[in-house]
Amino acid sequence: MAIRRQSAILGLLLAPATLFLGVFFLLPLLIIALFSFLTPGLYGGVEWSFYHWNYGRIFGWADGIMEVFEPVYLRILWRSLSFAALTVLVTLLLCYPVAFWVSRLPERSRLFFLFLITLPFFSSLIVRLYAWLLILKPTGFLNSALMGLGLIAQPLEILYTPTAVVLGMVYVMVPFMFLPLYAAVDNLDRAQVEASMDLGANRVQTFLKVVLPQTLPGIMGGAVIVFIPSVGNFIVPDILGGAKGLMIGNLVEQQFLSARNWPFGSALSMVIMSVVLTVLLVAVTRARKTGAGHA
Amino acid sequence: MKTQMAGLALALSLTAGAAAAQETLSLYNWGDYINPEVLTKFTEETGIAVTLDTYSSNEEMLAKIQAGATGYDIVFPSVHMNDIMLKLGLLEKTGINAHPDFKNIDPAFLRAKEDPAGEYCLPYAWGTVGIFYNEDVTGPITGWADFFAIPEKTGAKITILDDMREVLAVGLIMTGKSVNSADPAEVQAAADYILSHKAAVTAFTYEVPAMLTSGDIAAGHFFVGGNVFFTEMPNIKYIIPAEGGTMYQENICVLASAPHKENAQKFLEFYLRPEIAALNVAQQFNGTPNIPANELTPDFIRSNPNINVGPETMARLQIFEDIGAALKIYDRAWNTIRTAQ
Amino acid sequence: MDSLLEIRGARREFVTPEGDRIAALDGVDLDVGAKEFVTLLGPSGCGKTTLLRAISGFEALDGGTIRLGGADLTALPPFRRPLNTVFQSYALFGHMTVARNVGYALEVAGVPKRRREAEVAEALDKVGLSGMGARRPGQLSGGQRQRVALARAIVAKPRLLLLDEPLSALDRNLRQQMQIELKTLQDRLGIAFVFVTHDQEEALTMSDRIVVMRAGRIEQIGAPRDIYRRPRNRFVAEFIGETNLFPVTVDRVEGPTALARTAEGVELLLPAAGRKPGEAITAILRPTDFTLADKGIPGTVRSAVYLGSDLHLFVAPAAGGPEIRVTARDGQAAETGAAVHLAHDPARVHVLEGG
Ligand SMILES: Nc1ncnc2c1ncn2[C@@H]1O[C@H](COP(=O)(O)OP(=O)(O)O)[C@@H](O)[C@H]1O
Ligand SMILES: [Mg+2]
Repeated sequence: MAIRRQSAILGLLLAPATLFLGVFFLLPLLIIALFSFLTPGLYGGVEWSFYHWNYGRIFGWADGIMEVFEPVYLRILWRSLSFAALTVLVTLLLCYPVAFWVSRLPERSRLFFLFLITLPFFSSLIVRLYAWLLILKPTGFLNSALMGLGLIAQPLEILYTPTAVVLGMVYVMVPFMFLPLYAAVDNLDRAQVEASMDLGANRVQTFLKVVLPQTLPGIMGGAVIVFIPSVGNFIVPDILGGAKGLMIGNLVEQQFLSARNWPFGSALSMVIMSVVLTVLLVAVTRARKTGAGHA
Repeated sequence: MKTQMAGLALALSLTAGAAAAQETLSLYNWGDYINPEVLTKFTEETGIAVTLDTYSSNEEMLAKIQAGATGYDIVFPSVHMNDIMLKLGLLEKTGINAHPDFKNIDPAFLRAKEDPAGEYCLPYAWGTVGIFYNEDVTGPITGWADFFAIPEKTGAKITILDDMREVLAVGLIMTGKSVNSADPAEVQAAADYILSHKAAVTAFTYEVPAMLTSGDIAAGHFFVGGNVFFTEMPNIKYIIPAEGGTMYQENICVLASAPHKENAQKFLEFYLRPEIAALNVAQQFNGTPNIPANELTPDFIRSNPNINVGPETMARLQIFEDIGAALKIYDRAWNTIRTAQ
Repeated sequence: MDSLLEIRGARREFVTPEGDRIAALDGVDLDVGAKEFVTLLGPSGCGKTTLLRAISGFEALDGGTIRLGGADLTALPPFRRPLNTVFQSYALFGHMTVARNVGYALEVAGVPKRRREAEVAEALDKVGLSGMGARRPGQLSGGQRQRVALARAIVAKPRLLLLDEPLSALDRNLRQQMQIELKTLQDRLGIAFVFVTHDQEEALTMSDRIVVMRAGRIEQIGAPRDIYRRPRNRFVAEFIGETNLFPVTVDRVEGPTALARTAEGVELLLPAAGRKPGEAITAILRPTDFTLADKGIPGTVRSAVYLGSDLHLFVAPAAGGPEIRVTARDGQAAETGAAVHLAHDPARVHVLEGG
């Protein structure tokens, strides 16, 4: 009796959280999952009949008439995952040392730096990416400057290359990597670093055995926050990549906005979500184990 | 652009607010696809405040309306989308063809198959998609073959539109097929044509006016409306390719879900007037189906054969139709084009 | 005494955030014997931690040298110095087990796993934590963490162990127990300890020698008894234990005893050796040096504080002047307001020259 009443009260207390999750997370997800098994409507939308070719097109079964299996989708997915991973890596390598440097600044400069790094959030992403377009294009600031200095004779081919895409993604994602990293680095127990050196560990050993494991939560946090939106990003490849290298995000956008194939777009979204979730689960479990590992 | 428009809309609603009670009209149009002065004039005459929202593709607009976006009165679909929306029952019958001024409209522009008499929508404007080029860099060019040869001949860059149907249309035109082909082999051949030139193309983009002005590219695939940016640059020319090009036409349609149908009707009637259509052309550089309006447009527009096209050029132009389920074939071809290295 | 650690002329300046320069170490000379327990004692900010960190290598010196077993350490980074530290916060590695914490020095030195495990077990045994190796530091009590830190610091068998206020986070009972354990451990290991504290009682309990510091300088070095009985100056006298200071003038010398008097007229007897009449000196008497008797300094008990076996009295001299602190044995009747006489043995009076 008492237990039942308790759980009723608990249910009541949890209701807002459940509702919140349900409305903002679960419901859209369920709709996408449902749509991914429905027949595409001729002019967008869905027809209410079961249809498995949406997944067949991606994974290798198809009727070969209206629905054709093409490995291109998996290749695009792989490409997007690689770019996202590269973005994580580059932002990490950039932000990690900077986080240490910032954490040692006097308080006033530190706050100023943290303010600077959040500054981009105050303006539109599209505008900022167009600014990069102006910097990178052949007659842009970068090339003019380098040529003005006599460092190069021909403009560098950066705009509309994969390099520009990575550059843009890194630019967009740096704050998301930096903030969790900085929090972890700032939380790092200096005494433990000293203890390690005191016990005979040189700088490299100290870094690997103490600093890295201690900041691992920040690294994982940053990696997750950067990886997820990077996989689905389609604005950067469009603007800075010249729409030449299709990313999975572009593909999904295209299914909804020009191919009028909502179910296929939903199936692609489900595949992305599953892959990202799997990658994250594996990464987090591995990180846990490393953190707990014995040498 | 959008913010500029929003600002305009705000200004319009302010003036209207002073004039009359809350009479409003809500337009959902392509970005940069109406002369703001037209709206100002409409508000001045009728006291109806106009708000303007924009989209960048037919499908975006359709998806929004299908997903249940409400509050819009008027949309500007391309002809094939006009057909689709009629089939989907999204449009309101206006009887605009019964208006005395409807005689101003050239019947050749009643292209919507589902609305052959113009009972629903009013033909709004039309234009061509062709090639802008910097003649100082490229020398004279006449069509697609010359265009794709620019990078190899001069080392300069070219871009084509980031638009599935427009890009594949170029391939279809160059392989001698209809831009509305539903034959997988023909679409594949068109894709192969584009793929064989992909290396020459710097980007799929709409950034043509800015990049052409700055000299970052020497030529780009773009809409005739781009001429507005080059009135002061005689070295930048626009052509309708000799091999053929595409044309587009948008109609003014009232949504079945429109909250202000009477005001929408007033706007359609307003736009039937030649001087209003001409006012729009003067800023937009595209064609109008309003016959007397053509006589009122500025001379430099009227006399430019690439803008005010004659019958023989018209013969080279194709217009997109709704291709139904064959869209999938295009989608696959487009993915192949965009992922090829 | 053959010294293990030799510090000569150690200097270290800091610039405060306000821009002032302060000398945290202002010319420190110190020798520590091979099996000695030396305590650095002094008020907060006197430079104890700085000196310890200079020895361990975390603070570079502006001047001076540090040698260990004859080898010059001054320019070596911390990880090259054959000594270990027990940190005030313990600084245990939270992401490692207790065993891995303790074996860390061996792990980074590349000691094979088997031998490492044996030595970790031995070190844990020494600090009384056998069988706790699989736990995480977060699962231990404060006292247990303290022991892990200790085991970790001794596992590599350093010749010198540095401890920076290691007991300050423990409660009083545990602290006293650990004081004894630490001392015993040091004896057993046969290595030198340099121990930092600001608690004079702790210093007196544990040390072979105490180094009293003030403002970056050493005021006095000596055995606890020496420091307590024969402080070199007023600062040391006041810092170590409770003290009565009497600024007096020598009145006359009679055989082995001299009579001196404060300005107010309180009279003290002290050893005559070296005293001349008319000389101004400071006489020091600890509270335990007085006894309640029939003769002596007359006064009135102002307050009496009962402290277990002892009774602390504050006695106002009849002649006037500051109250005198007296430790009386429990059972001696001395209530507030009682008239008493304070007697003392002249031999126990310590004199600071020059007041
Ligand atoms: N890194 C530093 N920067 C500036 N001043 C410092 C620094 N470290 C210590 N000091 C100053 O040096 C003096 C001695 O400090 P410390 O050795 O920590 O004293 P203790 O351990 O005896 O309390 C203090 O005045 C302290 O403020
Ligand atoms: Mg200290």
